[in-house]
Amino acid sequence: MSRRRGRLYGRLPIVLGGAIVVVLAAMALGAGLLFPEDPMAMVAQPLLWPGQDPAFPLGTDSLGRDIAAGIVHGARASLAVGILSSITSLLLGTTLGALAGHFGARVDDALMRLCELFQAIPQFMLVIVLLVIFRPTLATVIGALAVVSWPPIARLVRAEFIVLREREFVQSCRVIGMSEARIMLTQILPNALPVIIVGATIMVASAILMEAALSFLGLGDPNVLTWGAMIGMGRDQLREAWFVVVVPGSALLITALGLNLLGEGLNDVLNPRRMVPR
Amino acid sequence: MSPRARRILRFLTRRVAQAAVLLVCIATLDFLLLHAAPGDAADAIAGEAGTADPGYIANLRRQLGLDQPLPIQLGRYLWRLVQGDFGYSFRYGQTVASLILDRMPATLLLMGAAILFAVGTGIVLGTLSARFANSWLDRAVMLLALFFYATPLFWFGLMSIVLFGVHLGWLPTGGIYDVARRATGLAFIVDVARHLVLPAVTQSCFFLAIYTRLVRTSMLEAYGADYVRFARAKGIGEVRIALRHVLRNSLTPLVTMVGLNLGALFGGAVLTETVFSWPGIGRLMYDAVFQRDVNLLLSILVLSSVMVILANLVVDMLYAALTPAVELR
Amino acid sequence: MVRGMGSARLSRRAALGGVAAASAIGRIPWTQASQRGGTLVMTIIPEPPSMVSAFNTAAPLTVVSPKLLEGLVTYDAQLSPQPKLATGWTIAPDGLSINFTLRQGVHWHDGRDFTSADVSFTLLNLIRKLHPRGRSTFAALTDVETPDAHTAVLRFSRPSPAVMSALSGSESPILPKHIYEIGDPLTNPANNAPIGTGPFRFVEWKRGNFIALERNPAYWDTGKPNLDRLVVKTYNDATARSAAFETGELQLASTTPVPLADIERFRKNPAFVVTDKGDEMNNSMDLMGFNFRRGPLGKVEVRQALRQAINFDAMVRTVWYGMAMKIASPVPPVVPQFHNAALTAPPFSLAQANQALDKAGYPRGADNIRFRLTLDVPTISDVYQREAEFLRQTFRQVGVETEIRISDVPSYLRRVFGEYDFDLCIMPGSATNDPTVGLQRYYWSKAANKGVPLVNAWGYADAEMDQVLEGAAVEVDAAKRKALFQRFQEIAMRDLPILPLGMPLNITIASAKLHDFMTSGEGIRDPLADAWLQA
Repeated sequence: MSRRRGRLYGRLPIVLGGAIVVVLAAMALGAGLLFPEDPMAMVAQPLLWPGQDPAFPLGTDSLGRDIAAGIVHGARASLAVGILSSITSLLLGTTLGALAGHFGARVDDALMRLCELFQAIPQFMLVIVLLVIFRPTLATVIGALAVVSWPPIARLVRAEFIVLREREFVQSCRVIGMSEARIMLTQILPNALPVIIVGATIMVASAILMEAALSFLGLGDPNVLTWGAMIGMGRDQLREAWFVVVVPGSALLITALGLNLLGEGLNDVLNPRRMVPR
Repeated sequence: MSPRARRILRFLTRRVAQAAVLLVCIATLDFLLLHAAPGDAADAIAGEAGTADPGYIANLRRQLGLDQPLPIQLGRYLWRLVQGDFGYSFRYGQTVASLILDRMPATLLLMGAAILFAVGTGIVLGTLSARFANSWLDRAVMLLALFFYATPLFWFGLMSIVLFGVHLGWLPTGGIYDVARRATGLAFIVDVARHLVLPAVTQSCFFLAIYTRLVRTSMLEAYGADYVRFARAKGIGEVRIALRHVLRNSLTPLVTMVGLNLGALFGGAVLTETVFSWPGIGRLMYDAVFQRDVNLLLSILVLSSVMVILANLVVDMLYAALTPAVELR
Repeated sequence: MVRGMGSARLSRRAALGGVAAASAIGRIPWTQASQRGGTLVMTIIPEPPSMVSAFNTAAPLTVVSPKLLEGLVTYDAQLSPQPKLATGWTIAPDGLSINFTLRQGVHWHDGRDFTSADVSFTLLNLIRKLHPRGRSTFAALTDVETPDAHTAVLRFSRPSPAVMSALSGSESPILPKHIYEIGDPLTNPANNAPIGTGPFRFVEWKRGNFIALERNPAYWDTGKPNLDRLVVKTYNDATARSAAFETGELQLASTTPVPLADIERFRKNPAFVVTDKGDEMNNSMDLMGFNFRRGPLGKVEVRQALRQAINFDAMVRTVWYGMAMKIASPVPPVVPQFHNAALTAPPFSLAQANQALDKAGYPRGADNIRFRLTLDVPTISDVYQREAEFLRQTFRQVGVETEIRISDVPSYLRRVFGEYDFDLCIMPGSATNDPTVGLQRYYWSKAANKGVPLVNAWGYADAEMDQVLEGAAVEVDAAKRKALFQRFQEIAMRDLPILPLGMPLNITIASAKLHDFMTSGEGIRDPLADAWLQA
């Protein structure tokens, strides 16, 4: 009995997290169908409360824009930023980490110093400086976030590769004459994948939150509506019409929550090392 | 000198040398980045002044040394840095060193309080969670931790100002102490403490989540260990087991984590300092970007890097000290 | 939006009624007599970089500096000069000299006497050489004679009528010679710890935290100031300021210190006084500049069409919640001695705008777009972003697709004024109380100078405009000068190198316990010598 309950509880994070992510993806993909008009168009009276007008279920913001449209289109933008910057970061980090972990010695040293270089500069400040240099657009925001996020992934992957390169199956591949590149790609990487996947979900969540913070400070792309931008522009209405901030803030929270739950759940499934008392 | 001491010395020398090289690289990188940004300090000051006189701007550039070629500017900056001279901020009319000293205590106080709170709460919650693993309490704590991890810091800060500062009136809405009533002695400490509550709690959210989970994870691992079963067999009480045996085990990774977080002292404080008008270095650094105050920004970035490198060094040494299996290379 | 409209009507009426009618708060006689004592906590947005407005005219400086430093004159509600450090003055008929009689018994905060030597040194060595605007305003100042300790005679190489409008404590503060004659004035530590003649003395400055000032017991206006201490506290966030007001931590702030959406709540609350008066000497407007070098924008018909496409009423409502003035010319109505009241804006008409663009030779393409433009916006405030949004939506309706580019101030200045790499740009501009001081630089062809921010960058040059501006700069006859400026406004709105988008109201919020905090025409830059707190 208790074991069955244990199994259900064990699966809850994945189920819940996965559900949230699926809903999000659906919103992002279906944005054009659900709300075909430009979400930045000023369509109604400003600061309508949710429920005040049935045509605008989540109300309108200070410029008279439909908040529901903003949430759905914002899902697309926020997810795009999160996913694209994470993919870039992952590619960069995985490649560098794999090379360092696998070949060790000088390559490893060089990578570690590079990681230190990037990690010594306060992450947030580096992003801000990069955005000031390249002017905030969706592309530059994605790039800037990718540039600061790769070191942790590189370290993670490096650690995995260090451990895995000494395993017997790798040795045996060497014996039969497989090239190092093939070994890394076809043998080691798949085994390191679980760790990378978990890291990736967390990374997407962080990227989305950091983008929100940047938009809040006024450093987001002004031509695209993201949740962070909605919070930033709604900051002035905090006292009078707090829903303008709370609605996208909640969307952010739920998204980050969902992604983290998913990551946790995947971690439980893919890396079952945890021990439970009794 | 014992072989161990010799090894430690060699390790330290190597790391310090590496750190020095790293710092020069960081300073150069930061310098190049800042100069890649369009516009310079003269533009910033002129824009602020709202004005338009070519002579004024030319004067300004000469004063700031901006009319020199880039390599010379970099060289001058590095040379001064090596001598410990952080330069002069033209915009603030003060030496950078005095500006940093002025604002540093506030950030240290904020981050210190935040981390202390996060560690304390993290230990308590993590312990409870691990002790009652898989119960509703555990799930509730984990959910709470997730909530704190995922919540946007600036949003949390704003909402807490509105709730606790305005609607409930329990706590002040900003600043570090009440400037109108110059309290002294104990009253001053109480005043600062009251102002510290909201910013510190807001700042600690993220760390709290991490520490809670960390403590829980390592305690769970410890609970499964043989010596705990042995202690239980001997009849030692649960609380004593939790505190003396299991918790001590979890402190290593916790300390490691805290050390790494301490290194990122300055960058993380920007948002909190902005929302709560906390007069710290984070905000100073942020403003310096938009004023292209190269001296000020570079100095703070370099200082921050020093802290990170130092923290990494200390953590590595601590780790080696606590886990003899790991050798200092 | 009903709420916004109401306040717009009220404040517009009040503002257009003339400065005299809605005179400074302090003129309303209070039944109680002023009280001595108390500490006033105010805030300035953002925190000033230094405290002497002689070398930097950043807005926050012009508010804090006058508490400690004074000018030769001050200005009343009609913006006419009144005695301050000078008790009387005579302007020569040929405009080439002004004779000032200086006040007796004035001391610097460190005890030394104030004399004409200080006036001479300040105007010649500091204001004329180092002040951002003073370099132009006092360009013709050749000498300041000091026949005795309390007389100063300014000599000019050509008439400079604008000088008499630029002698307030915030614009041209008089500084102590004995402090500034040593070393480089720009790096003098007194810039952060001023020594002046004003009602308040400097105590300390904890950067990012607060500036503490105390009452000057040796102030020449005996009995003043009423307040014992003045603290300028720093707040970075509008919501935080709003909260600080409501908890009583903050008692005075200008430049719309709280979010626009909160203003209504403060207006309704009897614990506060809300006013939009007090910026009549500065008059900051939001302007849109056109780059003539970029294709369609070089044609005046296109610029006028874009202007006609904008629904300014809706813009005021949406962008500023009704708290802005529509302006039909770059000289706003609150400067009645120069404002051209005969100029009216063409009526808002999308149809006419579309027609005009068709006629100008820019028909709609297959995608319904005539041409694309970029709009550069500095990150000065959220309001700029809202303006940009509004304009983007507006222009889309006449087939012009706009891309908004937001950059921080130095990047923006470099791109727009340093490289002329822009189509449209939004920027703040201060009309001040004299167009020669405030506006000439945007319209005069000789002010164009690539690399210098906030001047004519549009590629605009008109011979008649130059003539009018140059004439007005040296015209001593008041009536003739006014006529020249009227013509200036006509040409400005005909050629439209800049489109004035609106003049946001500069809202000041004060605790109802604070009285007499705007007793002169200097408004928000009032030295606060008369201000008093009700116990």
